[in-house]
Amino acid sequence: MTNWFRQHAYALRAALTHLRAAPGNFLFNVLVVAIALALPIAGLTVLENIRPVASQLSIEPEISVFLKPEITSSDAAATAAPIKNVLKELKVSAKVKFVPKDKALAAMEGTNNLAEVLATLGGNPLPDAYVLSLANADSDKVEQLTAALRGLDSIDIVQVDSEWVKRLAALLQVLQMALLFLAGTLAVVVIVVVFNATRLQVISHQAEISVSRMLGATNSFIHKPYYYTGAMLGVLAGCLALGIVALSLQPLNQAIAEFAKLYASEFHLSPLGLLPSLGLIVISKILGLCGAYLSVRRQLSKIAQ
Amino acid sequence: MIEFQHVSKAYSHDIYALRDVSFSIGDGELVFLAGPSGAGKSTVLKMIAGLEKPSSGMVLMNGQSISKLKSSSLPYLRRKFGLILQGQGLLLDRSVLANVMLPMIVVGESMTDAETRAYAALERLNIQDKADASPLSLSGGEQQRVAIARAIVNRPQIILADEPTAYLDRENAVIVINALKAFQRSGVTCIISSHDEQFLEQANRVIYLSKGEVTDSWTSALIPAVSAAITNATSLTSTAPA
Repeated sequence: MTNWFRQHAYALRAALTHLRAAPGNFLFNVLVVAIALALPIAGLTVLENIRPVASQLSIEPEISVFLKPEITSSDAAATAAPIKNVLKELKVSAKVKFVPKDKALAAMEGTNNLAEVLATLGGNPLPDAYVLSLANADSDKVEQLTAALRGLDSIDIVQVDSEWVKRLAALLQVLQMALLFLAGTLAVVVIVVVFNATRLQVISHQAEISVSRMLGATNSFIHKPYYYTGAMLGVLAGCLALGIVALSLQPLNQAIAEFAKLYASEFHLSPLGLLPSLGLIVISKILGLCGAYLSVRRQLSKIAQ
Repeated sequence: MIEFQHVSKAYSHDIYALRDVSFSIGDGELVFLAGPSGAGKSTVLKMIAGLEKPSSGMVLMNGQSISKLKSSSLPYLRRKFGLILQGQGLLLDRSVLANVMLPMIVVGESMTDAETRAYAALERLNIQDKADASPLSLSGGEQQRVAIARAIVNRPQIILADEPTAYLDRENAVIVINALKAFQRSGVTCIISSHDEQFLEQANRVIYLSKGEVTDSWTSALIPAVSAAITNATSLTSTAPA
């Protein structure tokens, strides 16, 4: 066990010695790998920020039914019956939720900095409303239902809310797939960069490798320093890529804040959390190791045993 | 015990480095492989160290075929040898001490032990004052002594020295040969290839190679006479009119 630790300690020291001998090359490779990693990490950061917002939105078709403003509270509550009749006639199952105008006002006052605007209006401008959450209704059924509800006396506006949410969900799916493809491609790029960096290192240490072999060094002893170099390159590039993405979020968030203000929202992008960041660093390390492993195997097989 | 049994090494159909070579070397012997350049002396040493494989025949160490060893077993075989190569094979990007420590580090010794033993090996060859120097700053003789220190630091069973006195002046060559004799006296088998006949008398046995074949083998009793004859013949050849 002590021997195992010694061999690893020596390999780490040898890797650091190799780096000290040509720090410029190593740092350049770290930068190249970091830039390659920064792209999928940036994509993942955006996805991770959008995903919670999207998951809070219902993807099932939802219909908001706004009653005429002059309808009294008791008439508003009684409108539930004709609505349920329409649903029954069209054989659509749905949850029907009554939203009284006072409750809607209270909810609006509590969010999105609208309290001041509402206060200037003097009264409650909101109508009573029903929200129908449909289960498995296709777009034809939704259209029929909308038309039928518009025909009811007490109903002012019927609004289908779910289409854009569906589109957003579909868009997120596409983005996720595109990100996976991008990450896969750039993982290959990272492996190729590390492969080439290791190849050049092995070539420049050929004399040392030959002498070590003649002195009884095992393949494992000779390979280890290169694995350490590959792993270090991966870890440093992963950290740098996370740093690049975190820094680039600052100016991006300023622009997003301006944009979100137009919609009375406060959306902004946050850097990845600790666990996903650590996960990405581990993945980056594994990619570095893979590149070094493949390169060392290939190059050292060319040097005589 | 090292044994060569009808060993041949061909690099192509008609170019032979060794042709049907057979001999054996006992434990603790000091054997010179003599002969002109290109006789196959280095090839013999490389085969013993497992650096080259014979085209036919067998190279045995203590009855075990070296040429049939798996490549994963070769490092463990090489740890039994102290190799002194032509051109020393020193690593120029590190100090003399680090070069001598390398065989110890390869086998997983601690840095402290490796350093202590490397110093001891350098002391034995009277070159300890150069421990921190770069090999590039040393003379040829000093570099050769560093190479010997590296070869003995792991207390090898066998020392394989390829032309250890080449490019050295007489004084440095004597130091190197005396050092190798001292190891042989402590029980280490020494196999030295050399085309320099002036040191043949130091050997227990001389195996003479020419054009890849063993043409003669003399034991210690005959060596002084043969050595003198070879030296005379060489001086006659060199002074003869063209």
